[in-house]
Amino acid sequence: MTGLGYTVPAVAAVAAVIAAELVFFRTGLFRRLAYWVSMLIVLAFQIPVDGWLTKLSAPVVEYSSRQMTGARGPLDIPVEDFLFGFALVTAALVLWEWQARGSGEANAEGTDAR
Amino acid sequence: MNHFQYLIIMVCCLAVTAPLEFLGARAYRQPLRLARSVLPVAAVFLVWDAIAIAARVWTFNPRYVTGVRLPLHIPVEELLFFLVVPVCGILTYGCVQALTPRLRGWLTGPAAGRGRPRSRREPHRASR
Repeated sequence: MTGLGYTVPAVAAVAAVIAAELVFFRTGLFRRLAYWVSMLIVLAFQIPVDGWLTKLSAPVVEYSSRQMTGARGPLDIPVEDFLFGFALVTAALVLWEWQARGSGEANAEGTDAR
Repeated sequence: MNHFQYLIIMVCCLAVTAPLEFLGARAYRQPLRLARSVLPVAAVFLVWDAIAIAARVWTFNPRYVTGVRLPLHIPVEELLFFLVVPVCGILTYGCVQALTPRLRGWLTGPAAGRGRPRSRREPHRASR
């Protein structure tokens, strides 16, 4: 391990998901207001949920301080967790939207239909 | 009860987001599409998790997990996490999408809310 065993893959995961969407899947997810609103809601819920796991007073998950920047947000959430969460949720949403093509589901319910 | 902390949080996430299905999310009603969205992502993140656990990038406090472990020392709660969090995200997105016309209406006024997306589709439709 190089010493940034969490930071480096977290940044790479975000870059990989963004690249996969822009180059391969091209669902247009990033152009949708619904996506960005959803990510703000997810972020708002990430703080209490993730924070419960990371709070240093009684941590469920403990991180090696040598493997990350050490920057922590509310409830001692490592900044890397926000990248991790972004990549995890965005990747699932890209696949969700990607499958909408052809099935007609997005057009029946999605933003394009109106 | 302490051993169930992580597990209970995951169950709470599912419980809190479940009503979104009835507020327009329509995710559980498409189980195959949901599985195809969540499972590949969970698989990749489980690999990352296994590597991080092996390298001790993160560890789990034995007081707050059940102790049930999958191969490669992955706590069963981690598997749940990688399934539950994307499902919550998809439910949120589906629900927001269903409410988007109203959202757009608030942001830009009711007429713009209905007019814009349709005009965006027009050239697409004409090309067929």
